[in-house]
Amino acid sequence: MSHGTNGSILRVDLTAGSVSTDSFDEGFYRRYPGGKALAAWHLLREFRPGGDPLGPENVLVLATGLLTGAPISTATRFNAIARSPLTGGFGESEAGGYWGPELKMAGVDAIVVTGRSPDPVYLAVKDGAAEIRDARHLWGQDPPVVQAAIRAELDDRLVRVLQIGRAGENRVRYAMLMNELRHYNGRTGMGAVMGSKNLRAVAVRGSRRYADLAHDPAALAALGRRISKLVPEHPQSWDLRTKGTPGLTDAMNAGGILPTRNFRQGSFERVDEIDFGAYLALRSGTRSCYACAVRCKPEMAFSDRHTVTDTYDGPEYEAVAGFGSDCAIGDLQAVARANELCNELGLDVISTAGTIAFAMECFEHGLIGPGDTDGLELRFGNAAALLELVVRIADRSGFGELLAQGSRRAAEAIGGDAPSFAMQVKGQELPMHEPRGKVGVGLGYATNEAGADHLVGFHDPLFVKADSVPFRSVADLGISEPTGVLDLGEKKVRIWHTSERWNSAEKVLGLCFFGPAPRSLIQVADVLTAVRAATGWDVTVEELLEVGERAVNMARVFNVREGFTRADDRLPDRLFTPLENGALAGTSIARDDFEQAITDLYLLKGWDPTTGVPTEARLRKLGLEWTAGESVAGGASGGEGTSADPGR
Amino acid sequence: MEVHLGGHLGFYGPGRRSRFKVHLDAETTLLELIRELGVPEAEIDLAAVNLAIVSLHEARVGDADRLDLYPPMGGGAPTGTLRLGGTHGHRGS
Repeated sequence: MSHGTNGSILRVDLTAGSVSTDSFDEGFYRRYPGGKALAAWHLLREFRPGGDPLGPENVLVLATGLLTGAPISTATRFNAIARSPLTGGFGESEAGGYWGPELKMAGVDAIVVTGRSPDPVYLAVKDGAAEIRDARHLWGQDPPVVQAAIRAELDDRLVRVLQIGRAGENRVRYAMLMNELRHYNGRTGMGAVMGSKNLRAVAVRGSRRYADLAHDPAALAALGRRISKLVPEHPQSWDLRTKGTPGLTDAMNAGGILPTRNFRQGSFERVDEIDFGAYLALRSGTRSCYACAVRCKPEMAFSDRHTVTDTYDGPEYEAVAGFGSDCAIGDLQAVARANELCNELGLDVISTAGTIAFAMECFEHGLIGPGDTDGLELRFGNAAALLELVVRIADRSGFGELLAQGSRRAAEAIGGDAPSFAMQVKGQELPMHEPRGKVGVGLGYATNEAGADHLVGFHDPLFVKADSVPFRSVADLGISEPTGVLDLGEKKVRIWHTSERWNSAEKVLGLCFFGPAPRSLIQVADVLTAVRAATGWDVTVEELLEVGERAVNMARVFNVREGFTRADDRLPDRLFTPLENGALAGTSIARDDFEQAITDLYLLKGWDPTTGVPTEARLRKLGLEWTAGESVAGGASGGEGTSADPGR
Repeated sequence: MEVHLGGHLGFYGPGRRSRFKVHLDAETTLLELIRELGVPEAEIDLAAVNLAIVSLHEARVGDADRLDLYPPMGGGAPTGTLRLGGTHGHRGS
């Protein structure tokens, strides 16, 4: 097949200890080209509604995007999708690095993992063949040990290893997956799902090249070379290459949208100690994902008040703000150590930081005391307590057992005002982007099927000035009218609707958020060129937006099946109260305007404005009528739908 | 005067530097200085003189001032007399 895919899905039943392969035709891939769409198709078909996210019945899908592995900067991503143990809904998380491209080169577009192995195992995939191998000796080991042992056992130092850490083994609800130690599927607890299956790692090795899969490899290579050369000459990719995401901290603080003290404040009085100047003093270099010239991943190693080795990814902005300002810790060394602990133990940085910031606020309000926290003085700013608690969360020991459940469950257990301190949506903790200064991002937090996520759509400040680089880059998406960051009217909702479909398409194609417009290193027309060169399909912007919309609707249908309603599309109450300090002090989101914006967004999406359920008409338009019947609810073996699913 | 170009605005700094000094013989409008520096106005979301957020179109600056400019990813602060948080020490970047 020369459509950018292998046409092959690997199926692994860990209960039976069996491995098999499914094949799909070109028509199927045009509707579900990869990533989120390909994975959601399998999840909807095979997961029985109401099943335990941490039971053998959960279906974990690891899916490459259509362009994953193409020789184009940022085409590195793959998705991990299952029912989330953190939210109970559609769980999804993407990562870059090298594992996704390697899986593609191994002749496999996705791996569908079902069941549970009686003993710890790992999966070894090489050029389409797969083997389930004993991992009892690897269980409990640190990630570098596991990676080295697998490479030694397979006698191949170039094997790419995706694995969980201790937190995943212990089924912490926000445990993550890591590949090559430095790249993370952080969100929604996919590491806990993998751990619940007694699957420690998935090692892959392939000898194909993307050129073998592409319709027009020469066109793809030419595009890739042009984009690589552009990186140092484009303001936004220059910024990512020279500063990376930690370059955001100063600007966020200046704009009054640096989450501080569990989102009470928007500016941190000790920002100097965590800002980019402080960061640069500790950063030792940068690294890349597969074939990506942006090279934004930070290296960090130091031995001073704390010690950090250059084994894992250095702290990104989310860690700097999450453990720094949001926990009121003005000590970048402690922040970097907390980040390293999360990576070593296999915890999602965002949810770990958000859950600890929540606990700090509970402590300061006297809802919990040292008697609850194993003696830890869990006040804002206490770095030693933070570092201790990260380990206890991963091990689910002492007070860590409660926080390992996430802030929503912990708040319910603590009671009193605690739920009002849990900054979460659908149980998933907020990323470090303040909706009171970016209301569209808040709309995304509230309505996203996987809970609060900052990569669901474009951030509002990019659409304020008509002649700015990011705004001009989205004209091809049909966005033509700028609007203010605090606007929640029709213009903003339309921008959001477009951006959500586009970003979803990126998750289907396997492109990183830091490449395509509005970041605009890769223009909309370049994305079309890439897809056409990979597939030979004469795709349009409209088709790509529809591909993205189809994936969003499948996630929504999944949540509807699990009992989610419009009532779950809500922000924490705190965001409707004024920020306490900073440039946006006194600013809050108007609740009525926000609810109206959700209604308007549902109507644009073709969803029932009262329930948030996709209408039959919209599902039919997207070719998803097969999701409406009970057929999708019953098939543990991917049973055929009664309606016309073009899938197989 | 000291100038800090936050985020991707450093791309437009002399030698792609984010922090540098310029000499002003006389007070000038902020807009004029920004044009002279070659930073596209459309890329600037927030300007602060001596840590107080100012209007790009109304502020004036002199040699003893400190200027901070930020791009849109930093969010949209209103203009006025609000002050930036933190003490903003000076480091090379």
